[in-house]
Amino acid sequence: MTLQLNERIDKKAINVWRINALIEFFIELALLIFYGIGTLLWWSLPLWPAMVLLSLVIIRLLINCFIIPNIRMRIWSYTFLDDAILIQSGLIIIKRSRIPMARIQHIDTEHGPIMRIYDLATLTITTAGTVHKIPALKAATAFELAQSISAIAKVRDEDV
Amino acid sequence: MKMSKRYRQHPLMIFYEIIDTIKTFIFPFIIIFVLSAVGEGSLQGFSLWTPLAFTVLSAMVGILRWVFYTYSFETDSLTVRSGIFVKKERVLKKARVQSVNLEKGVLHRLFSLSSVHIETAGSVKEAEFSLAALHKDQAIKLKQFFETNSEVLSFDYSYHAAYSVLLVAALTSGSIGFILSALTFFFTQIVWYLPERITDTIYGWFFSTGVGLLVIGAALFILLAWLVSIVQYLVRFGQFTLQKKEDALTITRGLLKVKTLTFKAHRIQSIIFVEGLLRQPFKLLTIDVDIAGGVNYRDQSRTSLFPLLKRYKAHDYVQALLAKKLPEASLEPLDKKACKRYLFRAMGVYLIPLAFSFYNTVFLYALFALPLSLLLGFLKYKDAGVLDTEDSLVFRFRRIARSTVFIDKARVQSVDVTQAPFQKWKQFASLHVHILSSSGKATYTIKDVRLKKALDLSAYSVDNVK
Repeated sequence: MTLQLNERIDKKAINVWRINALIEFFIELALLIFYGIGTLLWWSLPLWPAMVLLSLVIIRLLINCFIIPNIRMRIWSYTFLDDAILIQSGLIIIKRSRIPMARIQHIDTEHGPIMRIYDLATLTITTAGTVHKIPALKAATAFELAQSISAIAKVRDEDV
Repeated sequence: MKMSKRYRQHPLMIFYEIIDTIKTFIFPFIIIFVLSAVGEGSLQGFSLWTPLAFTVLSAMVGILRWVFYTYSFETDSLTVRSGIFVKKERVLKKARVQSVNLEKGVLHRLFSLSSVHIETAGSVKEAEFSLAALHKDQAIKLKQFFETNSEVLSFDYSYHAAYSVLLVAALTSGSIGFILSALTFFFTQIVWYLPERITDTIYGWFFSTGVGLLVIGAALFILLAWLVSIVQYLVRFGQFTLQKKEDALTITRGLLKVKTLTFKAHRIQSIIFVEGLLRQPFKLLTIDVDIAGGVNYRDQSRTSLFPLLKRYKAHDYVQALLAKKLPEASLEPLDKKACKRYLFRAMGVYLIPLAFSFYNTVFLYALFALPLSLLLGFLKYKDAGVLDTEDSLVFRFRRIARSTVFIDKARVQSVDVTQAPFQKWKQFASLHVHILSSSGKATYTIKDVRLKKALDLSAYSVDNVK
């Protein structure tokens, strides 16, 4: 049994990851098609590498769509406490971090175009020595947290 | 506008500038040289004149740099102007300066000069700002400028390491292993470059002599490495002095190159008692500290406060220096079941030669070292321990040397509890505590604590943050 923390990654993140996987797939597919057409029309290159790569790309798409997002959902969890943030992650090696609020130097939120559609953001928490990440949570939550942190974390010189 | 007096460095700076330039270009020149030696005639005449012209040119640039490099004192800042064509001006605010370090090389001492490194908050690797050659009086003036009330040359605390102490420290420094491997590497490399005739004679001699002679040879080799490590230690730590004035600690050390390091005591993040393999039997240890911000000697990631102390005196020395009582209670050892895991971990490395032994049985000889590894593994288990007091966290662990780390809970940046697959099985975990150090971040780890214990500790150590 593995301990889990209260909050999970937003379920909508699965869609984001799937869409990202699809976009990657189409880019790779386009390259392969270009190679295929070129080989058939102009170059005297063998076609089989493209076939091998195509099957690999398809396998990767399936893994990225149906296995990895579910695993990611399962392994990430986090909690915001009054005085600390807890983050747990890892499938094989489980890592449970505790970051005291008073130590946080800054919080970055980041969202790409697809994450924006689903109103999600990636949260990066930086202390003076370490960096921690939560891959996807509601943009509003992330923003709120960043706000509350900036109120708490007034870095005093003697503490560094 | 008031113009304050502009100072210039000692002309020896020109020399350092030239050396710097030559250092940068030495490799391209060597390549050109080699190419012209083996290549066509067109390069040959060229290559002889180029280094000479280059040296003259770099000397001229050096002189110009020296002329245009000036600094001046304002009321609360230091202004440095430099640049021949592109003028640079940097203002260092007095309040932002973290430390001022003086370094004296052999050449510096001949001219009674000193180089000065000024570090400000935020600079981690590179000193914010360096002056290569200043007259000693100027260097001290600069140092005093940034340290407001250091005109009075009395200290609250002063420790000078006697030569007998340093000699014992050198004898037991334990860097012999490193030097041994360096020497071995050196000699094995040399063999490649020697002509075949000589190597053949050496090999012939090697195989014709008896085992006894070979053992003596090996012993001499180890003795040589030991002597080198002793000399190296004395050169680095000779004349070790530690002084304290209010919050400022000053460490001076070095036999040939005298280094001075000044830092604020409140920037100390952790205190580490290091008991080296050769020191532990004699109940001796070194006290190191992690300091936040880019404050350190370049040849050490941690800073030694005391090069060598008797174990029972360590706590008293720390209290006398830092007015801080370190917890003295004995540490809580690991669960007995963790012993097995430490032994397995020690054996893990041997899977590689074992796998290779199918290819060549020579690799099986590696297994001769197995008992030693197992012993080390057992010692690692036996020495590992944690102590959790109200405001500090004490870790003890062994890599080769045994280290006991005292961390203020208020200094902890973050805590990780990790579980590898085999640890999950039996509900063990590793506890990692991150703190600041001069190289950015230092992480201290205890392996195979009970998961519950690890989670407890991680929570405690951060709940107490101010």
